[in-house]
Amino acid sequence: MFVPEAMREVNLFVFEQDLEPVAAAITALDILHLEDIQAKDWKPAPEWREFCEKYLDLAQRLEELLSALQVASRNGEPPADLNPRNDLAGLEAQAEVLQQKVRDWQTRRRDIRRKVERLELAVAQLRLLLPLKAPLAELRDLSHQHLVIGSLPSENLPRVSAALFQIAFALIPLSEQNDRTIVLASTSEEQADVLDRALKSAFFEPIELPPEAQGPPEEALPFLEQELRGCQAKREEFEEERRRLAGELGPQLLELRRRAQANLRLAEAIRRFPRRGEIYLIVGWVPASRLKEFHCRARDAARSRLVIEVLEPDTTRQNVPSLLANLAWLRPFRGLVTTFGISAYGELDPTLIATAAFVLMYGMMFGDIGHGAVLAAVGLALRKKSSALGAIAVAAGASGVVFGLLFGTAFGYQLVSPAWLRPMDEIRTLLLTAVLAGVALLNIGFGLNLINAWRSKEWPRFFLEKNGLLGIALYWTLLGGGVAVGLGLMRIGVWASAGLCLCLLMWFREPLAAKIWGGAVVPMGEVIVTGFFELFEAVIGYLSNSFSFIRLGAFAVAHEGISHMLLLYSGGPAGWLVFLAGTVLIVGFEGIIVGIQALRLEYYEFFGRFFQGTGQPFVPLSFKGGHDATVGVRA
Amino acid sequence: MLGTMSHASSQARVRARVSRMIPAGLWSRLLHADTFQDLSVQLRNSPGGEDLASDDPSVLERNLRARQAVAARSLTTSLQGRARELLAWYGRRFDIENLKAVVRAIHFDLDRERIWSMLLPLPEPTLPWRTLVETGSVPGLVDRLSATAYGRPLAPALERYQQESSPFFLEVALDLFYFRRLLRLIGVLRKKDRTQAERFLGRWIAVQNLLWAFRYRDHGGMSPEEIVNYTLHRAPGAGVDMVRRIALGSPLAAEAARFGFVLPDGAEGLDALHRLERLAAREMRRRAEATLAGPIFHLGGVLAYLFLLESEIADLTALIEGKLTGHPPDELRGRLLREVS
Repeated sequence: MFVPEAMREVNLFVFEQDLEPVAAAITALDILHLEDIQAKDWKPAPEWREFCEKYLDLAQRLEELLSALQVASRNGEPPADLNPRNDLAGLEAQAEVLQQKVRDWQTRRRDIRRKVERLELAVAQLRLLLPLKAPLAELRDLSHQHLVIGSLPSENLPRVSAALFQIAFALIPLSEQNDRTIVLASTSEEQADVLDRALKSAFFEPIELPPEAQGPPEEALPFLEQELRGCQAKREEFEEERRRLAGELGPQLLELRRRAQANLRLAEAIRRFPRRGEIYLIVGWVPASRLKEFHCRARDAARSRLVIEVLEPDTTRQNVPSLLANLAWLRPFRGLVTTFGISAYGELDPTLIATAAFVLMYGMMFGDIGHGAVLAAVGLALRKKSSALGAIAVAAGASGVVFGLLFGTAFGYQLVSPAWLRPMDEIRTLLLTAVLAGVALLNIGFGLNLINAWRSKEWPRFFLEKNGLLGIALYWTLLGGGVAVGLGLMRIGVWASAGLCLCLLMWFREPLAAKIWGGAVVPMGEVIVTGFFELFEAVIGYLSNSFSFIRLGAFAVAHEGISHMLLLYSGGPAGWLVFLAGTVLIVGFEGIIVGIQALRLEYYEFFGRFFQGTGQPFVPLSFKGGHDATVGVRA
Repeated sequence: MLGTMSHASSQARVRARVSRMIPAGLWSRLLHADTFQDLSVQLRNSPGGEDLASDDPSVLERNLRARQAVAARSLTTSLQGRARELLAWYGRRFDIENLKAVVRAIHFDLDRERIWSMLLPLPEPTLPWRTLVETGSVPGLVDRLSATAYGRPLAPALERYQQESSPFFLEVALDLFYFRRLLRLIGVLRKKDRTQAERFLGRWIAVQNLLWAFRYRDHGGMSPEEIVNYTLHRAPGAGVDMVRRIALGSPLAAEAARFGFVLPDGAEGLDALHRLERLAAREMRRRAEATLAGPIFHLGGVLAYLFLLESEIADLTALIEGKLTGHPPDELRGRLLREVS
């Protein structure tokens, strides 16, 4: 729970004949994090890139068909007998047959849609022309005016206006459908060429009045309206046909898509396997606890001999992926750590302690029974949309309620006698407690850094760095010794001498480390300059990091002050409205600020002491898509 | 918090990538290489030159261009939010380049394997290229692309293509679609990022627009209204007013001067356009170097690196072509964007 799962590097040598069954078996397990290796004479086979593209295309085509028929999507388990190389032709042929059946319907439906659109437009035009008694033939043959009606891509409409900068023209948009605008454009007959060129270069498609519309508009209109009603009725028939096709072809299409997608994932995996002659090499990481299962499944899937090399990870050379096995209830809080970084392999996973620290710090700054309860309720409501955010809000709100009980306030009102103190009455105690809480947290950080350094055998980091033993000694000499001098428990000379000695050690720790453990020797001039500034930064950092936690108390005081002020204003006219708006503001606005402050303390002051977060997430080969594989769940 | 981490990460990646660019000393050796083979060997042994292992000049040139696509794709992941969206879209220029090549090749009925060999080897298949190449007809290709982002701009241009049997209309539709969206994405960036994006991408787009307008007028023989319709109207510093001026006959030297580029007296035609292109590329290179010399937080560092890489690729391409045609170093030197001794 506190460190990423132990990993083993596996090198799997597979004969070409066994490639697909073995790849399918290990992909179904969800436990192999694939490594892309570059080795002489081992190159991925180019044909698998083509398979990927073809399966991608097939999957997209099937998706389009399902979408056209409005077949509800559902995901199933991957088929057991996958074989991307042999399946492709069959799947494409089946898809082609189904596509033909759907395409015929799509073409007829598109034609009737176009006809309806044209008729609707013609009817609308004729209604405008009703006052005219002239026959349509004469309107089609104007001698002084050039007039065209048609459609163009809507985004090209302003471009046409800009292009017609040399002539007088009229461009009237009539309606918009499917990203195209139907326009009426007109100019004088002499400028007809210019207008036509501008329209044509904006991909304009003219719409002609149907030739069957004859006579004056009032005679042609009833005829076209009848045509339109006929076509609209046909559209209903097409909808009925869609339902029939969806019922008939839907299950086959879904099955085809399931196979195509599973094959696509498999081909994408195989595309990354390097090959040499007849042998493919699969290199990756498997959790040590599931190595046996991996071994058995791969061996069972292979028809011929299979070679598996299992190696211990070499963390000095390799970037081993991290699989964090958090408890299920802790999982929503992972974001508090992963936003900063992912634990490197072998590094302690701080999720539990980071969650506890965040919740406690949040509660202290947002201590109020009422506001905490509202925040928790908001969190509960949010859980369906975002389980992580919801869980964090519930925990932070509950912590606010607990601190509210310690402070005795609900919505700023002194509801019960405080179990601990009232922030505004005992500001000094509160601020001192906040700093002490910070000192405690920093020292937990020091301790975790020692464990991390010990585990990774980084002895200079363990002994001599600013967060190692030397740093801890300097921190306590400066802080604890300073307090002891202040209280008269230690002589200032002893304190200063001890501090000076530790400072000198810290200053020259680099050549010291090189002397003890070996390593590059840095020129003394550089040591003097960089060492001094590093020492300066470390000392300032110890003080500023400790006192940075004072904000825990300051925010608690500010929270009570703002809540109290809100109560005062709520006593006036429309008081309930002021109270409601103020509470929303406090829970929403202040709630976010407090969250940012808690995160800030956690990331800069706490994580900076021990956590590097340079790990790479464990992303296993899988038939499923888009799941967070960095986290394993232990129920 | 996320923004800061993203900028730090992109800065680190850019610095690391800049350090792997071709060092000054090697440029001189490349310029003075005796033959193409000699140059090819030196390139292969250059930093990160493993992917340039080809004796075929056209493959080598395509691999060089693909480097830029790989860099854009890789750096996209180090950014967040709108800057990431912008860079991801910028990376689509290589898709567009390949798509235009496919359209043209299918239109001229080239052999499929030949089309395939003309395409840039992009890092991840964003489109089913093999299937597209095998479509066999331009309407079939447009139909196949209908479900992708490129379907919408191509569909209206298809009718014009069918009427006039010219791939130009599909190419121009793709270009306008790409650059208009790029401009929109620049417009919604935050102030600092927007300033940097306008400095690099904005300038690049403006120069492209200027060159298009002149090409359509002088070499395409198009009417003013066609020129206006086939160019961008909102390119920074090169909007519809500039396009109208050019459409009505404004000379190249005058328009170039508005951009701060001085063309020699009497420069005209294709040669003048090439000179202008080189001047613009040199300016972009200087801007990129100046940006990378300072702190490179924000999007500017990433864009500066990409344009610097583009200039490196342009110079290498010029050297490859120069060596193949046997041009002496002194003549080649003038074609490069950088100063090489």
